[in-house]
Amino acid sequence: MDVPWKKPGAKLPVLEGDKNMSKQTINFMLNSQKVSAQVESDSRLVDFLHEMGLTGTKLGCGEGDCGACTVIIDGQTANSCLVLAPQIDGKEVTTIEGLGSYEQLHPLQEAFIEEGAVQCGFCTPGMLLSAKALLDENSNPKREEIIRSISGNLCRCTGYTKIANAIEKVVRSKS
Amino acid sequence: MSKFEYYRPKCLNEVFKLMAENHGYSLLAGGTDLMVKLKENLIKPTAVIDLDGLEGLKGINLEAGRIVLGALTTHTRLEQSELINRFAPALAKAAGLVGSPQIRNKGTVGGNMGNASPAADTVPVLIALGAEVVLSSKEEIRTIPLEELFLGPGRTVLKPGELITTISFEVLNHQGCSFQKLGKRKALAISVINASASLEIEPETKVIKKVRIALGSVAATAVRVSAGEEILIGNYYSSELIKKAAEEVSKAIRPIDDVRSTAIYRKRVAEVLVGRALEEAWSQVTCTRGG
Repeated sequence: MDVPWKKPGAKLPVLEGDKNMSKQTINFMLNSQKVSAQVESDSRLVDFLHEMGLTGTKLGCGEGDCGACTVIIDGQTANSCLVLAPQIDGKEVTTIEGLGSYEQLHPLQEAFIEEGAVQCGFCTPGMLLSAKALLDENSNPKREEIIRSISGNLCRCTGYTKIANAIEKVVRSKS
Repeated sequence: MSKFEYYRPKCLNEVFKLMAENHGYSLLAGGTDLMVKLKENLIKPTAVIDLDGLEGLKGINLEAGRIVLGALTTHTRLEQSELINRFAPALAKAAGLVGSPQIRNKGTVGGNMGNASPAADTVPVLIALGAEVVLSSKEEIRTIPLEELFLGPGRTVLKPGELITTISFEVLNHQGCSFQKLGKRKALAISVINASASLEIEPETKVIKKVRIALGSVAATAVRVSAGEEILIGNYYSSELIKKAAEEVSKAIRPIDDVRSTAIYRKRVAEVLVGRALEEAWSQVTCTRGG
C-alpha cells in the first residue's frame, strides 16, 4: 500500500467535504508532520483518521472498552473513538503509522513478530502504542507495569503472555 | 451522533457565555462517558463545550490545610500525584482503579462526579474524606458537601449554566482513609460495589473520634451509612467492633438487582468490603505521615 506520509516532503490530504455541514479548521501534528484539515464538529478522531487514509487505527467497540483504536495524544494513550476530531486542534497525535516504517520497523514491532505476539492482529496497533507510551515514560518497567500498561487493550487470541514477553524483550535489549 | 457545534473556550467567563447562549449544551471534560452517550444517541446536544482549555482547573494543590483539586484533573494525574499519595493515598488508589490507562488519561475527577454514576470510584473516597465541591455559574459560586451533589443516576443538583470547578478536602493528621473495589475483572471493570472508610482518632487515647463510611453501587447515588459509623464512634478499634459495624452497614443498605449484580450478593459483599475498608483505614491512621 502506498503510504503518503512516509515519503519525505509528502503532504497529507486536506479534506474538503460537504460545505453545508458545520466545519472547523484544525491544525495539529500527526506522526511528526504538521497537518491542517477541515473537520466536522461531530466526527470522531478514529473516523477522521480513517478518512485521511490512516486505517491502521482499528475501530472495535466504539465505547472505550477494547482499546483497538488507541492512539497517543500529547504523550498519553487515548481511545480515539472517545475523542472528537476538533479536540486534537493544537495537539500532537501518534498513530500506528508513525511507529517505524516498512523498511525499518520499530523495535517493539520487531519484538512482536519475533515473540509471536500477533494472531488476528486487530488489537496489535493499540497494543504497540500502549507499549510505546509506557516505554517513552519508563524505559525500565517491571513485568507488572507492562501488564498494567496494556490492561486497556483487549486481545481475544493470544492471552497476553506473548505480548508482555515481546515488550519485556525490548526493555531487556535496551538495558 | 446528532449534529452539534463544538467550542473550546479558554476561560470560565466564556464557558458561562456559551452555556447561556446554547440551552442544549453538553459539557465535555474527559469525554469518556459523554462520547458513549453521544454515540448511543442518549443525548442530543446542540453544542458541546470542551473544557480542556481551562488550564486553571487542572491540578492539585495544598492550600491552608486543604487539598484542592481542579475539576479537570485526570485520574492519571491523581494516581501519580505526590500530594495525593502522601495525604490521601486511598484517593490515588481509587483513581488508579478507574477503567483503563486510556480512560484514566482522559477522564477527570469533576467529570466523574458530573456524570453521577452510582458506581463512580473516586466518589466514595471523596465522601469519606469529607470533600466539598464548588459549583460556579455566572451568578454565584456555592460550596456544597459532595454527597449533596447527587440526586440519582446521571442526575445532580447542578443548575443550567452551572459547573463543578473545584473539589477540596481537609488534610487531617490523625485520619486514615481507604478504598475497596469489587469488579468482575481487575481492569476495565465498572464496580459491582465499592466502599471507602475514613477513621479519625484522638491521638492520645486512640479513641475513634470521627468515622465516615461511604459505598457506591448500592443505591441510586453513592451513600454514607451512618448505622455503621455510630457503632465505632467513641470506641477503641478492635476486630469485633469492625465486624459489628460492617454487619450494620450490610443491614442498612438497600441495593438493587441490575446488569452487574444482584441485591443479595451486594449486601453480602458489602459486609466484607466495609470490613476490609475499615481495617485498611486503621492501618493508614496508625502509620505516621508527614505534614
